[in-house]
Amino acid sequence: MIDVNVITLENGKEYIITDTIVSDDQNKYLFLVNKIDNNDIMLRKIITKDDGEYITKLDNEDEFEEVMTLFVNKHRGERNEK
Amino acid sequence: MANNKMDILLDKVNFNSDCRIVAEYIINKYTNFDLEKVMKIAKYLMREKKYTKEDILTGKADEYLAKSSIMQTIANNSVRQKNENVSELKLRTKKEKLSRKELQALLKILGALVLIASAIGITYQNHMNDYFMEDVSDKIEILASEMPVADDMNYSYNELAAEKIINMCIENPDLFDVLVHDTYYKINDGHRLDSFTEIWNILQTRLANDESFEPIYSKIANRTFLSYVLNTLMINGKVDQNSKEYQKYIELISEFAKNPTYDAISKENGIVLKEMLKEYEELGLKLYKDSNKTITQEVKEMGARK
Repeated sequence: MIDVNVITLENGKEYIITDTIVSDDQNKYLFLVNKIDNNDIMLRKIITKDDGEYITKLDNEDEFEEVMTLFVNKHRGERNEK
Repeated sequence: MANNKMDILLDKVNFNSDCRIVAEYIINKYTNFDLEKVMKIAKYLMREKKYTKEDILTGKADEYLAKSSIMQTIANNSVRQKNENVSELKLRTKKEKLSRKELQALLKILGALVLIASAIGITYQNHMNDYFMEDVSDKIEILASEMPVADDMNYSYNELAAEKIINMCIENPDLFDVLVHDTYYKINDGHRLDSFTEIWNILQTRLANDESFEPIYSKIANRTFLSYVLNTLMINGKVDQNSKEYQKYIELISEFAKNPTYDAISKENGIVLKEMLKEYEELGLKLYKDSNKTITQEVKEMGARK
């Protein structure tokens, strides 16, 4: 068995943190998959405040595209190795 | 479906008939794209991927469209929608145990999404933005070419062009935003700069004197306003694109784009805002708001609260 981190989002559903990535400007992003419904996929951003870390939606589609590009680049090597 | 709305939007950017038919095909088949995205995808398929209208209508691009639709769904899940309040949730995680097989299944999902993103060219958005800008330029050129010879010799060609642009903007304030950026691109590559400079000068005069712009200003984002100010500074040689000031102004505009309210502006950018508007005022220009108060003054007061 392997340990994974699970979070509950604003919709009350539980999501498994499948991957994490940090952008050049030090923003941290999570790749989330619904525990029950694997078709329910989303990205979220972690923001840090004085009293800890908060999870929030991305600001716009440009940010989404940038983060997806980071994920693609991160895993491109893995795909090539296979 | 929102065909009337789409017609209006497609007319604005002068979609040719093939692109229009393709856009209609996409929007009827995939309902999770917004109108602007549909137009961009239609352009991308036909220009970048070299699909013909017949290719697309016979389903040859369906795989691409289906993948884009999946990605759009994930984007919609991930991105804050317009008018949605910023919702932040304290990050609390709990540990759970998965079997190796379950974990592999999850990683496969991630891998599949990466493949989809690669297949549709996740950076295609940038290309499509270029196409969108290009279309607006085309529209302006067509407008200009369609304009009658002015009977009044004092009414110049560029004034007519400005008039047409103003009318387009009043009908669709969002287009003003696009025009600002379009002009910005043209300034950057030096293309048709003279013509655009003159048109913008005329627009400024209209802004100062014509109340018909009032509803536009009540609708357009502050980002647009500041982009407009920055463009004006660049046109007038007050800001160089390679300067530190330019970078600061871009960061300011970027902050506005994320949270377009003056009250939300950071203290640092409040200072930058004041600097920017001071530069603008030194040009001897003013932006219309009402007879007693210019927008510049209003913004200055807001910036001064910082």
